[in-house]
Amino acid sequence: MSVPLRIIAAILALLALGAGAYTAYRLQSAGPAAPDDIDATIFNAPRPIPGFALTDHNGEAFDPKRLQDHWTLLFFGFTHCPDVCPTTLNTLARSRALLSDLPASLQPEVVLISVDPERDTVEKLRDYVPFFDPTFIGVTGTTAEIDALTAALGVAHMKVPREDGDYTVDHSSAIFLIDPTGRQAALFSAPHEAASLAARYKATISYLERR
Amino acid sequence: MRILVWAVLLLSACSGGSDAVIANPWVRAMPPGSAMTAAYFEFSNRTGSDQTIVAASSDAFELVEIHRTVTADGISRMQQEDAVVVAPGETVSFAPQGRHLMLMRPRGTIQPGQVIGFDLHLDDGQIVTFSAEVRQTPK
Repeated sequence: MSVPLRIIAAILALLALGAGAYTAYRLQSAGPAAPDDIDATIFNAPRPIPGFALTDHNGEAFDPKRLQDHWTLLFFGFTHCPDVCPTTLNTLARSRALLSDLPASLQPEVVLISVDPERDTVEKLRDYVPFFDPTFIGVTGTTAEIDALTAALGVAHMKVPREDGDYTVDHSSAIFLIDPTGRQAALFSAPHEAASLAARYKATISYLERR
Repeated sequence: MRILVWAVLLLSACSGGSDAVIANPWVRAMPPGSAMTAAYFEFSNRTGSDQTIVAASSDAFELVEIHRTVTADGISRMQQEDAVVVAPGETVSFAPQGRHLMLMRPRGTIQPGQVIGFDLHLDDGQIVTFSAEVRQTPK
């Protein structure tokens, strides 16, 4: 990546962080406070997500309608990722198995959204995502659509060139909880571990269902 | 399978006479066609002086690098490490979401159950060899 492009990428990442921080601040100052004993950032007022038009690993449209009528755990990653992304996907698979005692309506759908849409084609995600759990959904799209969604959610991601001409992607490691009306309800910060993530999920949705 | 596991344990213990012990080695199984994966293990220094890992290699991958995942301010980054110093009597973990061998450009298909050999190169020229089974999760 050329130097001006890197600067632009850095500015975009900072803007995304700033937007996220501002929104977090705004949401923290509205509505009743969430209980402190739940290890999650629960937004006092669930936050609508602006429209998006992406594609899932089966080539189907992935738009806001796909977040309706069920809880969703959203994770951002990429397939050229040797450690964090596969670790998180394995953790999510084990968490989901631990949540199988919940009624079907409360079980989460798990979605990986690529922060490397240049390399993560629909075909690549079709090979990759269901390997971890056949119910998981991989999502990609144009760089512009991915950037718009990540900026709206406050997800930072930045291409980092490697010496051999390849690149890797630094990215937010949080897992986002989307409520059944498609709004951002909470986020779980890394590190992620299967049993604790399942417990955090249960505690959070139990609180949100009562609220 | 049991023979294979014993072979892995046995090979793990034979660490090239460098008085380093490798424990719990494994390679993350990845979806078919993946360009990369990672290897994890614990390295114990049983000598009386520092041991410094400066490089790693494997016949199964064209490129192996020592990396560390660092998560700060909610963002995960990978940092390449030029050297990992293990003090006498100390154990350093290569573990998910932390330090790992980043394995790139596999020379062939990498499948669960396969056993892959690695060389860890120390700064004094010694080589610590070990083998690791390809698995979806650690034992």
